[in-house]
Amino acid sequence: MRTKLESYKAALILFIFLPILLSGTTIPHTSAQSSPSRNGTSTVQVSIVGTIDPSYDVFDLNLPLLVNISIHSTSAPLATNQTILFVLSFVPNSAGAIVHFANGSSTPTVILASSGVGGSSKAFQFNLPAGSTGFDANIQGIQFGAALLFRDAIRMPTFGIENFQNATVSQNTTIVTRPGNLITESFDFVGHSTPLPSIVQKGASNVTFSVPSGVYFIVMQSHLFFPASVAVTLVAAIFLILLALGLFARSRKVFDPLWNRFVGVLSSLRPLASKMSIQDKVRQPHRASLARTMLIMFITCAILMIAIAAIAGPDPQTKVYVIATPSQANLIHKNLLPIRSNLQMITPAQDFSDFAVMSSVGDFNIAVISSFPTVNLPEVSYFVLPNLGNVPVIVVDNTSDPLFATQVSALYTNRVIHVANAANLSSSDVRRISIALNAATGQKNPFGVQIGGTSFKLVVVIEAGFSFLLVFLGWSALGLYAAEANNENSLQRLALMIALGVFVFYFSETTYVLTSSLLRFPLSLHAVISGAKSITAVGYLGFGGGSTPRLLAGAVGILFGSFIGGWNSRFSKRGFGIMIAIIVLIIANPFLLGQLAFQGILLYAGGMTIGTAYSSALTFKQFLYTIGSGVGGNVSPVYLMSAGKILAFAGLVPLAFLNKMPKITASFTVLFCAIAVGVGGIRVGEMTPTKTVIAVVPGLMSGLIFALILLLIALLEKYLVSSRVVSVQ
Amino acid sequence: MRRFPVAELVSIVIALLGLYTMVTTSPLPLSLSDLPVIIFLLFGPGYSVLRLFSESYGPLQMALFSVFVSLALLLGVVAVGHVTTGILILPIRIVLPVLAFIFLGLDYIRTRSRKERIGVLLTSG
Repeated sequence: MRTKLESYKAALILFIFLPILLSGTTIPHTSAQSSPSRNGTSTVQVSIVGTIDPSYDVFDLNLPLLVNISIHSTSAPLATNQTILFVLSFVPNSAGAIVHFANGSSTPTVILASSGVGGSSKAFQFNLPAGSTGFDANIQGIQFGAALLFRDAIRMPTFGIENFQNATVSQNTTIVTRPGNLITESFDFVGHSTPLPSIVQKGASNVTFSVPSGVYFIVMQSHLFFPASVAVTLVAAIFLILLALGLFARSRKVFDPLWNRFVGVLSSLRPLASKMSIQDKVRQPHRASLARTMLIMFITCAILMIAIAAIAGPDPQTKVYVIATPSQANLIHKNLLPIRSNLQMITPAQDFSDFAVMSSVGDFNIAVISSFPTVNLPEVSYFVLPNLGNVPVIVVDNTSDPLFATQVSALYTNRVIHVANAANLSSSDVRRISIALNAATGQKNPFGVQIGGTSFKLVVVIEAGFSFLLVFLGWSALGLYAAEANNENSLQRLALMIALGVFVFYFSETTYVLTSSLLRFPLSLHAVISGAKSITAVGYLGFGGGSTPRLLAGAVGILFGSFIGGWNSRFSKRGFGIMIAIIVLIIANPFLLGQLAFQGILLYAGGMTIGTAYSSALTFKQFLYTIGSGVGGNVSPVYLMSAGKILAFAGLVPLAFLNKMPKITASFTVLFCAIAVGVGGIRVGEMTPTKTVIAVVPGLMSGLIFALILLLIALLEKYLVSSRVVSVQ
Repeated sequence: MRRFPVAELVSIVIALLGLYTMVTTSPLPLSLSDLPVIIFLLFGPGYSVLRLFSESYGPLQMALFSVFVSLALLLGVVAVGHVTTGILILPIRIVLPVLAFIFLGLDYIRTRSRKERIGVLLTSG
């Protein structure tokens, strides 16, 4: 009986697993990748050639890489018409294709921009008619890389093909450049190192590198870079040694009077100091009044920005956000012109991830939802759909995605106007939209002031300039308060730094939000797509979202304030000299440390995520997020955490302990805090106050941990100084 | 009249609470309350760090900032554990008392050597 049962069990197991065992041997041979060639379906050969003339500038985010993509496809005659989608990492200047038929004839066809969707990829489509046996296509365009610290970082152009069933795609990528240029680093999509591209052809005028599959970023440098960087590194090392030996003492006699004169000029700007009583002047060190003056200037700058925006705003243009293909969008724009002649169209190609912020400051008057490729809709819809409630008028036409249209209609019933085709509005549609638009409130200046488009642009540019000045003044005041002479204990200083730092951040963000709302035009944005210049105030200055200059304004503000406040008492000139020499040593050297520094700077200044610096930044972010999670972060999507904002508040805390630090550690702390506050302070322009709410406490906690580490370093310095190992004078 | 050594007394209480916190991790079937553990985690690590600053604080200032520093240390230990392993692996009830003992020990050594120096000065004077 038992044997019979076991044999049944064995039979059952065999019955269940036999198909799996068999399929295990057959699956690889019937996969979509291998079958087409045997079944006579499509093969696609793609050749991507990128041509670059390296610039090796100190900083340039618009380094052009000319891209030429040739596509050759063969297939069995198609039974039905087929629309193929090319997904590219750049916008082509020209694109065309020739379709081949079984009878040997060929027909040229047009490749249409399918969406012009923003973000990293752009989709283009063309139709393969029934009976065609293949095609040859050619696409040309420009992709932009970044030049930084005399090296060029280039993102590889990518090509994808969709809606082409059972196609086997083979792809080869080459980079053509002038002789004398080397590819020294290469990385995959997530920033891991990959095998370097190898030279496949070397001519008198150009060199061709073959790029292995999986390579997504490359770093190029001149063959002169290595010897030059070794030379600079050696000079920095010699300088460092001489500095440590105290051989530059005489130079201070020249430098110090110059610095004191500079500080004297700044001190003369203190209007309040002159009004203080003699007793007050005796009681308070003069730096304190300079810090206060800086704080007053910060608040004045904020009020001035708000006042200008209140009087000159809102933007006289009517803004329409159009979710449609580029050709459709242009037609929609023309159809809306009879309603408002002064009309600016913004599309997802310019920005969709910042739709929430743009719409929350009243940037858009109308949103039009029309035909948009289904493949690109989810990423746009994710950002747009929850925030359409900020737009007073929403026009949905019958060519739009049915599911998306239904969702919009269900969520925003009272705002939606249904039309047959937004690119061909009837007179009744125009009237309905016009009435809805006129009924929307808050579109006019409350003081009855009206300015034209050109004057408004001038106002916007002035506001953009003030937005950087505001950040600089706020953090300068903080630096001054941190470095000024005082007799408070560390905890009193900590309370002051927290109060002042949180105030500066919040008041800056308040000013950004208020100014943008009054202008109905965002001063800046966090993740604005590069090249979108007319959608932010700082964009008119050529800064896109304005992150990098805001970083500099914040970092320079802290350094400026700290140096003015404590140059003669708080910091060691030799310490700074040593640190500058060390920074040059780190950045200029051509070895691993230099590469890491390059990757780190590229991450923040160029937005390129490569190498160990990227993975380290992710680990650091994880550290901040874990601390944030412990104190209420990410409980709900409303209070989403921002590592940048946490970092800004973390940078405040070590400044409170400058009193307890010897000179070299104090100098290093100020540099560290300037970078942390600068990098984090970028997020003032993100205009997401809910993220600020949840970032303050995790930031202060993280800052306290950094402060404890810096205090340990301070202890080490004290020990070394007391042992006369180093001198800091 | 000699001043009552409040600081030393608080240090001893913190050390005892730290010991208690460590004991609660014992595999022995002890039914120990977590209330002293909470008190230790709230004040202990922060107090021991603030002692090292060798500054004079008022009782309220000391208490408030002890909580602030304790929470920072607690979160730091949790975050380091998460970053290195992806999960909470560092036992807080061991790590934080050990840190507190180290800081209190350093403070004790420093205070004693300072007293000895003063004693030598007084004797030689």
